[in-house]
Amino acid sequence: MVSLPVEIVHLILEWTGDGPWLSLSSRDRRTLSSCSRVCRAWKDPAQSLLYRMVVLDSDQRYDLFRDFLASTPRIAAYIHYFGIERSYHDTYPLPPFLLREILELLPHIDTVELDSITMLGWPTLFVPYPEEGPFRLRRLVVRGTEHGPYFNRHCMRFDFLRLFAVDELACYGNADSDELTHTMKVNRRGVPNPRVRRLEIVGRDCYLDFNEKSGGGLDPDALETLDIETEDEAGVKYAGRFLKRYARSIRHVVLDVCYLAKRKPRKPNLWKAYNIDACVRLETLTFHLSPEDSWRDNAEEYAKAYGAVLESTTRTLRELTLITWYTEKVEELEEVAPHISQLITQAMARFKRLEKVVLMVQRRFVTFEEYKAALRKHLPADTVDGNLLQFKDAGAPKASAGRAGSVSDITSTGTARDQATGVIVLSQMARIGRQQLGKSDVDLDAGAAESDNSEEFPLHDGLADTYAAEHARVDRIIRDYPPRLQLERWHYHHRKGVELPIQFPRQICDDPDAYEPHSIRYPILYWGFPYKKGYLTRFAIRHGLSSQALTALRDAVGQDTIQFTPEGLRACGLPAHVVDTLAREAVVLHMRERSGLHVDWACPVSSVYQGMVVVLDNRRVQYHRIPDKVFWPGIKVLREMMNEEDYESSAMWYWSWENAFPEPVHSP
Amino acid sequence: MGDSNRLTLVASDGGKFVVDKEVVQMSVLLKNMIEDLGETDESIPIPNVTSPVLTKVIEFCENHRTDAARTDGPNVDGDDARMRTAVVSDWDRQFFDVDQDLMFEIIVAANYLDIKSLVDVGCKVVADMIKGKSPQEIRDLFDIVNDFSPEEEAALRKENEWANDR
Repeated sequence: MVSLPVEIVHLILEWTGDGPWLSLSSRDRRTLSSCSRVCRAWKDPAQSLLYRMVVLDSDQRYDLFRDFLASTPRIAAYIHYFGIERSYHDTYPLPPFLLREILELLPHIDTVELDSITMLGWPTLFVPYPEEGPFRLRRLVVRGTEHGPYFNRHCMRFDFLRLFAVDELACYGNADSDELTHTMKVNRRGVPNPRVRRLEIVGRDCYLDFNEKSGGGLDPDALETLDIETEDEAGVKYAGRFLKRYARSIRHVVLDVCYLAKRKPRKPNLWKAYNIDACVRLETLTFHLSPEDSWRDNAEEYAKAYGAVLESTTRTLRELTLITWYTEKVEELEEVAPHISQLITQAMARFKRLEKVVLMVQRRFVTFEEYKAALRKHLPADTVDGNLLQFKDAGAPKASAGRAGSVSDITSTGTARDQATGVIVLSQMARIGRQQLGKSDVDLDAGAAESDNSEEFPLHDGLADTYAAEHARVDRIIRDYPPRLQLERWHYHHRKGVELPIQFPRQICDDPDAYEPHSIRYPILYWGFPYKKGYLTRFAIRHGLSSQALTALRDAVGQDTIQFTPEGLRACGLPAHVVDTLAREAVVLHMRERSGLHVDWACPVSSVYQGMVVVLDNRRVQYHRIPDKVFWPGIKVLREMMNEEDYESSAMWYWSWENAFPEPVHSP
Repeated sequence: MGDSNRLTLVASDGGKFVVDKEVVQMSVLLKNMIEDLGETDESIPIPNVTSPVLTKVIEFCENHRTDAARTDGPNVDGDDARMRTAVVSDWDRQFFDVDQDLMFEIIVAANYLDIKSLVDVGCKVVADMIKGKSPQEIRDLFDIVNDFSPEEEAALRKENEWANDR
């Protein structure tokens, strides 16, 4: 082979994914991992790409990852993007100081994204914030807290945003409950207000609320750009609060009202609630005309809404940008051109200092000339052809931030035409691409395979081979022990309505019934799924308890409470080996009255969770920082057993967390 | 005085190639040289590129000479243009249907001449060959010597676990 320079190897390996600007699929990662082991010359290029973007699942152990980074600074230096996504199976809550410790080890970290995970509170109110001050990031995304397990008021006991100084902060889909925020205490002593230059919000947000309600708010002089996507009328008011509060520093506003406008809200003067008139130093204004379906049906509504906003905007505006994503053909353009022209005319009349109007156009569908021709029918030719009006290629449609849902759901947001032409825009990929590149849009030509979520289940890539390989892999796992992985796969297959002929051998556990395929209808207790009492057996076994131990535990049901300390367990009359197992596994079971068993949290033996002692007392979690030693005892389960009615009526979300199944546990 | 729209490239083995300036200007290196030299009859030596490789490079540039007009525009940034090369056309794939040494030499030459589209297409073709293969399969494919000890390779495998999907 010709000796290739390192930079050429790097370029080649960049293309082992779908392109250098994209995140990596599972297969791409496997390929890069293989490449790193080909020879020494390939190691660094491959690993630098492999680790450029690291996304942990929330059921991975963050503390071990931190230890790994500490022991391999070479790898840590490759990481520019770090994210944690909620796992479908279980999740570890993330202590904020552990996140901080991880980030401190990443010299080139640029973007952090936390998606649908549970962020814990600060250890105690008496523990000060890090002396090092806020951690510097280019972009921080916190999204989907409302999907996070076990999110409660405790988790908001501190002003999370104060841990960071960021250029861009995006808060999407976090919990907005007043119950979470109004009673909280806050630890923010001596910490300056978060400095954020650009803020992206979609509706109410508990982190922003808490930041504001704790008497802090963002640094009033730093916020320059506010990017708002509004989904309901309350969201207009909510955004208006920010625009008013930070009016002094805001120079740029980006608005997306399409979702709300197309529902034709009848409230008079609704759009004035944005308070955009308060932003007297506003320089640029950007409107998204990016509906979820055909936008020509709603173009009039958008024009009305944005027209009302323009009416309130300070007359000193210098630049207006209209982003028109979905104009797919000339005929469609003819229909929407009057509305676009109306906005342009209005802006030209109102803003005497207007320097330019930018029209972002998807050029792959409509050329600039076609666009201009359509506008000439409604605007003077010298306006269309003059210097004021400028056209730019908008690239791909924007992936809706707020409605994207969990990252784990790779959602196709492309138009029908996109899909018909094989261009699928994946919200997750696009978002990641935007972050990596700092680009406003990323388009993927990922093909149909991605649309079927090939990340999780590669349906299209050699279907038969995939099945066979998957089956073999599951068999191999089952042979070792029934840890979590084979159940994950089963879960995936089941969710997708695809049944694979996987048989769970009876001999693999003490309780054969627990692993009979027909009895494992929902082997992974999916969040939100109404658990049945009967699942306790299987669930507990899955987490390492033998049937014997479980039986012994159930024998203790007559008691109201079991203290999960060795002493408490012994006091229940449990056999010594059961006590040992329970103590080691630190199982927490919380059952309702009808089961007769109420096991509150216990911190047995080591009783440490990622550097903290965790105590659940009357549904309140208390954390006590262990300053000098971090020890992981293998906390396995925190599970609320409840039926559907209980779940529906429950004011709190219950969850489970477990660690990755480290070793097979065979209790005697 | 010769044709001002054409110039002569001299490969490392002395082979001479008379080509349109428009074609060679796909190479940023040559484009800059032409601008520096101005109107001249002088040949431009390409010391790092042999005649067979230069032949292929010129073939590629001639085939793609109109691409620049299609993709260059005030609002088409580099990534957008690059994205267009993400799908390798049939012609490009056919173009790289050569022996491996020549394929790699073309990529190295394209990199030296700074012809981004050729580098990208070449790298994409090679990357497609790599995808889904094990380390040993890749070594076999490209005749690469494994200079890792088994322990080192195992350590690397362990090291990569955090970046792999489980």
